[in-house]
Amino acid sequence: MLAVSAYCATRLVAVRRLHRTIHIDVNVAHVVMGVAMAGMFAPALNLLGDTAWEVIFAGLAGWFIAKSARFIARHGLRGRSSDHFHGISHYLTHLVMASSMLYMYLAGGSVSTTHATGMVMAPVGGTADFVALPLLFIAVLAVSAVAHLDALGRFSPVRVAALATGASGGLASAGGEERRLLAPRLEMGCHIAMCVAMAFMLVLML
Amino acid sequence: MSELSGVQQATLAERSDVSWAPADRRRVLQLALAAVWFLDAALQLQPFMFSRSFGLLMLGPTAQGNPGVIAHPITDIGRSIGQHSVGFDTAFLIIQFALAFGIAYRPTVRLALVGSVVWSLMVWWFGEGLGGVLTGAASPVNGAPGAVLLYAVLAVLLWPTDPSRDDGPFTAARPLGTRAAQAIWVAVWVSLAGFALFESSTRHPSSLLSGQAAGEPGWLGAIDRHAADLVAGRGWLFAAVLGAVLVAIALGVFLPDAPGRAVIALAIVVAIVIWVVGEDFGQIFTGAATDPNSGPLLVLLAVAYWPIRQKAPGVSRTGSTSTGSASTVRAA
Repeated sequence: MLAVSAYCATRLVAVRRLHRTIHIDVNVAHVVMGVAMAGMFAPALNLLGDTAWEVIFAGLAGWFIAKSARFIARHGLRGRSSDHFHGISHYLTHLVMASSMLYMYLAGGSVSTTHATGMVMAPVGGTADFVALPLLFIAVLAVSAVAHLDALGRFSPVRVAALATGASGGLASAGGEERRLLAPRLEMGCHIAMCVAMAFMLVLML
Repeated sequence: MSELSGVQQATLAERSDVSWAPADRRRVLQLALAAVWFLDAALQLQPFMFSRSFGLLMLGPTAQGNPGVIAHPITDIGRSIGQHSVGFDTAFLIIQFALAFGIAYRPTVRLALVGSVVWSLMVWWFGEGLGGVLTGAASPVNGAPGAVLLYAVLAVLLWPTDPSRDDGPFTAARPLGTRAAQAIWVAVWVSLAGFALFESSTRHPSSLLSGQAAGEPGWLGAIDRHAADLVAGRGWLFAAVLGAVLVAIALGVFLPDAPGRAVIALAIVVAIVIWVVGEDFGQIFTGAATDPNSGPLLVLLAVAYWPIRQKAPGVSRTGSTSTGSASTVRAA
């Protein structure tokens, strides 16, 4: 998780220098979530108190609620963003991820426990009163992870090069936009890693 | 890269990684199957699965009531898993994540679907005791003939095919043809009807339902108890009605489009009711579930048989909509 956080932080720093684009809010969210989950796995790595994390993730959830509302107002529920990459599910997924983190802090607290696996984990299922909620979150994370894997081919270098040179047989796409994205497949990989780790934490709360 | 020759450009255009397109109906179903495998893998991360109890108290007892040739390997494997629970469970969750990601990643979808069939059949035997179909305890209400068997069925029905064979009346008809797909549908739902009518457990639904309330959240336990009260003393009637509904669903696959859709919709409703009331969402809230049970798989199966509106003559199948494009089919 710390590696994911470090990579996403590097992206935030490097993107301007390389004159490329990234989803800044998503990368910021990945940095924060990665650090927070590392602290959940190993309390020695926990940088902030629970209340601080709760405020941060409530803020992130609020941000993605606002982004979702703005997206719906501009493009409707079934519309696509102006770069053609995303629908409303993009923002809702990150809203769910921020909400999951918030839920884990609110319901699980920072009580550490060692399970049969020898792993140290923060959330404790016994304190979670709304057991359907983590299940819903896990379902969303599962769908998001497999959807991102399915879409990896969209950003393959061969395809992006073909789109840029018009060799794609007339496929209509924002080829230029795809070229401007900074390592989109690695960003998707980070997202998938986040989904797996978060599902792991949530499963302990069922 | 911007100075590619015409030949290079033409070659690129023919490659599947160039012609990536949004998921069509079958691809969406494949992704749904992948998501269920992901959920299974995540459930394998529960602390209970890393304990001796997983092998000794969960897997081992599935041998009970089965013939010796089926039961002995289950007992032996359950004992081995119990003794080396951390290692085995880690292997199981890696396999299931690999199946989920393999299906979701387009270049590996075929390999992962084959793996899905093999792993499902292994789990059906050694993990579920063949779903209890040989024990007399199988009931559609509690997940017979074994949820994991449906993973294998779906992997076969969702096998990627050549775009030129994209002409079945429903998605599941593409790889095997309409008649074979209809036969599979009938086999699944008639077997469920058989379990409902002829296995004793379905004729005592009250004890089946009330027994599941233990360990569930209050609201789900209350649903179980209310349902148990509703069918108490009406076991035969319940079994007869359920059996008749399941037979009707089985035969619905032969109906024309409009009534066919109604029957498939009925199948989805029945699957959801079974999942909620009979299976308690696969008992996922007890901390000891390995999968969400058969309900979601039956829904996926039904969606794979949802009649597709045939395009008007003269309209190309590689026409304007992205969901019907050849490039989409090639990619999945």
